[in-house]
Amino acid sequence: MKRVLRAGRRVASRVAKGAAGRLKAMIPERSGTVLEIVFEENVLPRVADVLAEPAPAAPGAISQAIPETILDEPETRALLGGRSGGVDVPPWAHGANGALRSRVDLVRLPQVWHAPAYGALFNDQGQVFHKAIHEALYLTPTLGLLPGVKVEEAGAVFRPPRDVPVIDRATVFMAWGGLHNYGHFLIDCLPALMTAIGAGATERFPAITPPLLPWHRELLDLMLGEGPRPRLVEAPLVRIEDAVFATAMDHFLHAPNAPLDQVRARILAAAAIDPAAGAKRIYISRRGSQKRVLVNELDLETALAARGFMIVKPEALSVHDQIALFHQADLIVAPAGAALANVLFCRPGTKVMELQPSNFIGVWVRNIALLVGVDWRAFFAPSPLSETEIYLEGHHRPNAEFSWRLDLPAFLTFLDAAL
Amino acid sequence: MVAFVDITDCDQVPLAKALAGAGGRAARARLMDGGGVVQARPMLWPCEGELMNADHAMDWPAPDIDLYVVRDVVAGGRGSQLTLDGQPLQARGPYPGYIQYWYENEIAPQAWAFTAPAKRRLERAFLIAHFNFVWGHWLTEMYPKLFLIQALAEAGITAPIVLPATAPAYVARIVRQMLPGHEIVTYDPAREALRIDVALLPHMLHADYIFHDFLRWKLEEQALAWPRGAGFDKVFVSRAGLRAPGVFREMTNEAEVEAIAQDLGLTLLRPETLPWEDQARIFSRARVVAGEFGSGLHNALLSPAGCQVVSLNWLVEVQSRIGNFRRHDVGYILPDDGMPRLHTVEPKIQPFRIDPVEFRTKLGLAVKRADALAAMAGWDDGPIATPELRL
Repeated sequence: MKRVLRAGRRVASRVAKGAAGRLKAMIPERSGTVLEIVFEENVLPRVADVLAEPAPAAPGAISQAIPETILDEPETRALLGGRSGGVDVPPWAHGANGALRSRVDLVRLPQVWHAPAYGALFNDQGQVFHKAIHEALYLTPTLGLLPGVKVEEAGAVFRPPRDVPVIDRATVFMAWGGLHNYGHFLIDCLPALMTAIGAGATERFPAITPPLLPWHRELLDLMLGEGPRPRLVEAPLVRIEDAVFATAMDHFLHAPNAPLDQVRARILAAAAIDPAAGAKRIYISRRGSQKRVLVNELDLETALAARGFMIVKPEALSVHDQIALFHQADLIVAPAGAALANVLFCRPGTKVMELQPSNFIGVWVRNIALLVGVDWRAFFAPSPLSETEIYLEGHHRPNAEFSWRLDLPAFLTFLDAAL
Repeated sequence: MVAFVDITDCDQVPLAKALAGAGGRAARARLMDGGGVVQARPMLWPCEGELMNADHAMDWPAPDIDLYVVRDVVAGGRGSQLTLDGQPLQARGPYPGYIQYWYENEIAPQAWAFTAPAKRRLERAFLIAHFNFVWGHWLTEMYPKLFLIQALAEAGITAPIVLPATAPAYVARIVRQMLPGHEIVTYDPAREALRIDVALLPHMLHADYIFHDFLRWKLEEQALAWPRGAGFDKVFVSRAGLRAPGVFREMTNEAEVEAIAQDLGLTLLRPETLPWEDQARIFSRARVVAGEFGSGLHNALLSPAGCQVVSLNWLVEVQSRIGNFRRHDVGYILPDDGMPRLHTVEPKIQPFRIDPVEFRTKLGLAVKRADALAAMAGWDDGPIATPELRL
């Protein structure tokens, strides 16, 4: 009898579940808002001071905080021309086309949603502000990973979840890249915060941030000194009634400008490093990383050690110790990577030799060096030596995953000539 | 022995041709070359035993990744096993080697054989499952296929995913989470099977748990969706809630060991009580993972390079291979009589005790190593993004 009853319950339960499923299918999903990425300068009126009261009407306003400047080609050529070496040296390594120091704007947005893990800011009209989200588009080009967002036929559709915390006023400065990469945090996010501090925004719009790692906190401690720390926001989505952010959040490291100099000055002052102490020749090893494997790095390290270089594993050091190493060194050799953001802390005139695999070239270290007055030069090596070929059309393999080899005799000749 | 069809070495043809029917009943299309080698890494401390050390002394090449395309098959049973002309089908790549062993030795045929008739027909479908839904097997033998299906979908190759209605609920939840909007077709294995015109069998992304870099890239990418700074990052995987019939080993001083782990700063975790997304977040940022050898510990597959993994007992080579693949430092602590408690097919209780002094010393060492790298943990997880060269 019991068995029959249990079976009866199971049947009833199945019927109920089926009916619930059918009912659910009959209830239309909430309509939601289709998200669209917009460029701030296209949709926001430009005003003299975005922080002036009363607050701008939706969707907000934009004002210039730092003007754009251009280092002309003759000047960059004079600084860089003929110094880089290796194979297929790109013209920009010799200073072609000058160097851009990008404008920084302050943007003020009333009544927006904020997904701290992505730096995203978007409003009820579905406008997703480009400068804040741009770095996260690397991970979620469809915006489908944003909380409350589902990619449908119409595009990325946002349906606000329930019980989202509300913040009255806030400065957003953490771009997605800065959460996961030291270079982006130091050169994009800290200048974004510094811009807001410099404009007096953070007094009325306290800075907020998603959960931080120890190296984030150490850099913030050095930069902020006795100043207030950003408020931690753990919720995946918050509503901000009145938000401010600086456009340095968007890949500022590729064309850095003021206030990166202030970030540098504050951190160096707090770090209190004796420039006369420490190793004068350092090599920044990447042997602890699985990305962009330099297959003869051990041979390189051996050759450099014989020339008096200290081999440094940055992942095993604190932020302070890395800053000290870069500040004290006279000559730095390093493969391309996040550790080279520390070039910011070099003394003017320090020689930096960046080893660049030819399929992973980047101008960002050069541009930081130009800002600080560092003697930057690069050695370009053909790459990749090997990479996994993917035959699936349409799938983009991470370009950071390959191995490469340095022509050691050629590089050592290049190095010895510069010593 | 049951007669079965092994299509492992069927004709290799280009993907478009395979989908169009080249190769006859079974063909395979190369999606990725093996590429890298999973390099050996030293253990955290010396452990005796040839089996235990084999994976820490040799480099292993990762397999090529193929998509198998099989025509006119029937899927049924508790694991959506495939039959071709009535015979079970096997292919290394999509399925682990032990499946063949079970066929050959007729082990537990109720798990994989089926007699229910094919009542419905699908034109094309992905088959990702087999009968062994034990968590660690799902995680290593089925879950990786979802990343490949994501990539195929990006390339415009889509098809419903077939799942038996009796599969654990987490299976469909994880599929929906990773492939939102993707159609899932379920069937009741007691009542029916499915006839499938074109069955697509994705690779597990490993051969004998020598994993392909593609899986690492995807796991690393997945972790970039969450702030790594949130919450705890030292985990003790508890099996306290898993005292079920059929569990063949039991740590008798579990409470004592767990108290030591907590004392050293680890957070006790019973993964089976958490949704997968929470588990994935926790293990994606973990710098220390300790616990009894088993499915929960295999979640370290998601943990980043430099993670310290302390396994109590040793069963098979899987944890070492996961460790080498993700560049973890792995150490084993065997039961205090020095004998590993190995898997038994027949139910058999094998109690064991972990020496608390040895555990405290060795876990303390692992924690110290993790803390030495704590200051910069996560500093290079993401790329220097280059949208365009700005000059």
